[in-house]
Amino acid sequence: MKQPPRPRQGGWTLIELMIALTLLACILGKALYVMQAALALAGDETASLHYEDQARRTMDRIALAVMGSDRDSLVPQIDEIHTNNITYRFSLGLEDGEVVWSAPEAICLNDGRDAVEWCENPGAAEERKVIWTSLVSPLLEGELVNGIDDNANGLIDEDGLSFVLEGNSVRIRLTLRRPEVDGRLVMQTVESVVCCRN
Amino acid sequence: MRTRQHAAPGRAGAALILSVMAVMVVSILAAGFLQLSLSVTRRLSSSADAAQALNLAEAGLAEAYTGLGMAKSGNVGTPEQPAFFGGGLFWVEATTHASGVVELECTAMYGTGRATLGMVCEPVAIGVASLGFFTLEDLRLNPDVRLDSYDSAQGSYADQINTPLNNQGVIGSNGDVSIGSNNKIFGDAIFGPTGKVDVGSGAVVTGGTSARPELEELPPVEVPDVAMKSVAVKYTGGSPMIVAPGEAGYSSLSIGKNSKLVLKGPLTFVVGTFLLGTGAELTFDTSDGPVQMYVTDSLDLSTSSIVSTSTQVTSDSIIMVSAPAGKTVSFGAKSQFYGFIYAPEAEIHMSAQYELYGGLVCKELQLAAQGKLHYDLSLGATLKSAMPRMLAWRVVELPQAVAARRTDPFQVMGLDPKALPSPSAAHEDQVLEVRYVADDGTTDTYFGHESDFDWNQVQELLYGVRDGLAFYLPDDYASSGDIGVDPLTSLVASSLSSKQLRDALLAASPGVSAEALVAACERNPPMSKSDLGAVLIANHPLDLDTLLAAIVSTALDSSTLKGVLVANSPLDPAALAAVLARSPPLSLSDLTSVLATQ
Repeated sequence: MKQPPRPRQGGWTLIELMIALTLLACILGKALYVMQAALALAGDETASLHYEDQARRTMDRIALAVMGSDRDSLVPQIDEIHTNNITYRFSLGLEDGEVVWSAPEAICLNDGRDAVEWCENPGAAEERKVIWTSLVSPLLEGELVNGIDDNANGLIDEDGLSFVLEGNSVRIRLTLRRPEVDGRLVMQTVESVVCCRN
Repeated sequence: MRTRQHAAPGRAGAALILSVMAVMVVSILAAGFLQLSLSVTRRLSSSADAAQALNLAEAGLAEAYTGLGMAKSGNVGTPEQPAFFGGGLFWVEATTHASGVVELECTAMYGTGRATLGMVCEPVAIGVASLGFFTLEDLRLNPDVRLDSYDSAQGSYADQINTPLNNQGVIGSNGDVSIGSNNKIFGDAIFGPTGKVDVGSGAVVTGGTSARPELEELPPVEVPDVAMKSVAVKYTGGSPMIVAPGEAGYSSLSIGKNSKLVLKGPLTFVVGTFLLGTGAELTFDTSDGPVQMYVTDSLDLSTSSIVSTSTQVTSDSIIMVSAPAGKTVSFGAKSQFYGFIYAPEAEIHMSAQYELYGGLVCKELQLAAQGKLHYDLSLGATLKSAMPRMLAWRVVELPQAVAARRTDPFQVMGLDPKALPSPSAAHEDQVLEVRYVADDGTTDTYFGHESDFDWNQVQELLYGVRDGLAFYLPDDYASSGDIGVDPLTSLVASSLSSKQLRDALLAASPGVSAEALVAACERNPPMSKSDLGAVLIANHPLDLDTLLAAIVSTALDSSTLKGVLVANSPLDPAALAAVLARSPPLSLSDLTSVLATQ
């Protein structure tokens, strides 16, 4: 009498299970690695964009202030030599047919030299200060305190914020810097040349 | 028999779970990157839009600034109908202040970007002097007034009579302009926006007549703060009273009979009540500098007094009258006054013997019959100084309505970009006067609103004025015969009667141009034979063209033509041949007389 074929047993053998688990672990491990790397990259990118955004916004504010300023009011006279602060006046419009100029304002590094500070009526009793951005690098990107023009921009040992008067224009440079948790430095430098309109 | 085998229950769905997990991980990553990417894109787009809006605002200011240099108003577009440019839109609002400076404010929108920039300009020489002879109230000219023009920068008035420069006068008001009978207006008459112009019988306006686009506002006189002598001074000395350069002030000053007052420039002279008595004399000595005379109460230059200027520089002798309406401001003196009179609140009475070279702007004007006004073009803008001077530039806080919705500006404002004008076409409409060479080579002129003028037909611009202010004059316009029409030629072409035309041409003889004489010979309706003959004889010797025109003219009969020909004999052979070929021929006796003089 012919016996009916024995049905195949369900489930995996131990070897199959081991292989499956190993493959699964490899896949998950790889996926986790990729995800972590991607998140880290995204984090870096986000931080970089954030700093760039912050630097650009600050630069736009500085640039507009310099554009609207009376060139003759720029103090100190920053001809040829770079400086990290300017004092200026700008037009407020017309009153009784005459151009009205603002109270003096200043853009400079703060005492700690790590933030860009805007100041109204500098040195006066009614002085008012606003921090436009922090995280300013002590030196411009690529520069070292060694008396040499390390970053080949024509300036020696310039600060993280620098102004250079070029004729009727002012060249502005700004570097923001922030150390990350892994010890890396994220730096963002922006540069702009604007013409004094007044 | 085939049997279907089913999977073991313990394996069912395991692959699906793994697959779903994997898909979820990938989806989360993808969503994260997408979010990051969108955030970056939004930020970059917003930043780019803001920069572009700023650039558009700069472009708008530049358009308005350049427009000011071309005698435009500075208004470009409106919030309701802005100019389309570079994928965005902008409009510029110009505000002219009493001091003459113009404040431009340009608002630009691009994508989500918004910017408003302001600029303060001082249009050079765009002042009240460019209005020519102007009154705030209706202007009514008595009969036989002559208004014409010259350019003191190009020479004396006498040298420019019957030249194109003599034909660019400007007379106008904020209301009606009534041009009395037999007035000769060599130039334009511009009346108020809701006014009209009436031209009396025999009167001629060689230029255009048109409404000004908007009412002119005259800034008040700002009297300088000068120490005043409080006691009334009456000078009756035999030697001249000389007011030294610097500043001087009198609350009341009277120059008695046959006395003389000399105002020595550079001088700022303020006087409350000023009287120039019978036979008295007032001299503006501007040899060393300008004299500015401010009258705060009343001015009376009696009819037998004399006023003179030591130079013919019209911008050096200025009379500013801040006296209110109702006070006497009378220029009755005998004078050839080279200067500018400004009295925005006063009614001025001017006698016919006060011949004014320069300009006059006042509230009301009573000009005696036969008065003579000669507008000095150099008081208006010239191309050399037409570009405005920038005084200040600034970033203006965005208006609330503009800052509110940061989306596509065309959607926000409900505008179709295709229906918006370009920046050059968005300038405020003005009264335009141009002389140009058209595409077909003919020289043509236009006077009217600029919106009605097709610039495409202009091949070459010869002369251009907006709202009475020149914006284009060629370097050699003073000597070029192409850029202007001889005023006498315009006179010939006018509707003057033969007698009136004869009188006008005889008054200008013997300097009537050949062009005007030829036009007189060819006039239709023709001048009477005696009138034309008198004019031709008064201007002999005639050139060949004029002689030929006279010979073929139907206006001259045989006898009158004989007189002209004899007066110009011996004749050129070409003229003689024309005489012999004339139809109808000269009478035998007249022909004999002419031939006898050859």
